Amino acid sequence: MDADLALVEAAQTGDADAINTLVRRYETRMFNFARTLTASDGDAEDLAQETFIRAFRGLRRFRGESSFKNWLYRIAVNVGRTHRGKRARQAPVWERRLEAEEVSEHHLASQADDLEQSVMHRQALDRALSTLSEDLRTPLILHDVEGLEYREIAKVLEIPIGTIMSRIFRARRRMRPLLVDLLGPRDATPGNESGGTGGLAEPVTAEGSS
Amino acid sequence: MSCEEWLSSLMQAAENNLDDLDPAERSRFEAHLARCARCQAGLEEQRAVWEALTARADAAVPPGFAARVVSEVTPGRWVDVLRWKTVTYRLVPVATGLLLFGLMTARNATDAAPPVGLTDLAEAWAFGDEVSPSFTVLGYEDVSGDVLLDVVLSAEPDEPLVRGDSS
Repeated sequence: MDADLALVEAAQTGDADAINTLVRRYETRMFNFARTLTASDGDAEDLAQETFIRAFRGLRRFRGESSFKNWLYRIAVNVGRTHRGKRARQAPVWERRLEAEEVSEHHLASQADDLEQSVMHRQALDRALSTLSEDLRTPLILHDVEGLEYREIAKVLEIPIGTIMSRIFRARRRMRPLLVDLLGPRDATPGNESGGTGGLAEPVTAEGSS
Repeated sequence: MSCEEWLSSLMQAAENNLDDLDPAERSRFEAHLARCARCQAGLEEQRAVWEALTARADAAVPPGFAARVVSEVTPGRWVDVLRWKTVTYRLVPVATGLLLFGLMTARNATDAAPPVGLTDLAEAWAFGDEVSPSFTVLGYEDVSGDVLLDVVLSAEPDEPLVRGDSS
């Protein structure tokens, strides 16, 4: 049973305390999910805020068929798509990547304490994530960053679980060469000599399976 | 089995979840992995990215974020507006009833058209209009013709008629 159900039912009647509790319970998750989608603190705040506003304004439509958490993620994914469309019309991709890179290099140059290290680590990951297509990035973030199970992601994105696994597999493969600075070079094992597409062939049969 | 058919097991191994596998299937996968360099490389690749992403430190939520969200969605804002609308809609029949009652009362009052003040009554009497010998108007009880005559006679020119001493 959804642990949030009682709070959600109270929130549906306009209970401000219940709404407040739910927001505080999920603000870190939603903000970080938005942060990985947008690679920008400012955009992440807007996206996370819009997610909550849509969720609570549409709370009467929540029937408890999924968990509140997964329902929030579904809304966040949709808000993220809308946001991405707006951003794409506003600025070219290379400008956004440059912005993220500058921030990352700033932190690389600082070589500071653990906090700096974790920020640098996060920036590098977010920068690598931003290079993935939406189809690969969203399930990867939901699984590896947000900790959702494959079956949960399948429900959130309304995609077969086999497709989810296939996309996550491919997303990690594309991420690995981008994280050399962070993780070190890959092993020189057979299939990795080219440094690009070694290892297992990208699965294609899993697409569309259930 | 081909390497691609071990995809699910390989991902579970990358996430340290091999215990979830059926023991027999796990043995077969581990036997395949031991002799397959491609799967070994794939496992390293998957595990490295998974470990890096699961270790990603959360970004700090901006100060006051929750308060801003709550202020947008709590009763102080839109819920109150919704309730105001709801209350308004519910009061529509009552308001309509009161309006109709008021209109009907006004119409009846117009039909009766009694003098509404002592001065009006006195003027009506002075100009020969027919008035009832006794009225109850604005607190004056039993306003007789003598009283009305007193009002007319004691009035100054160009001044409103006022009630004089009737005693």
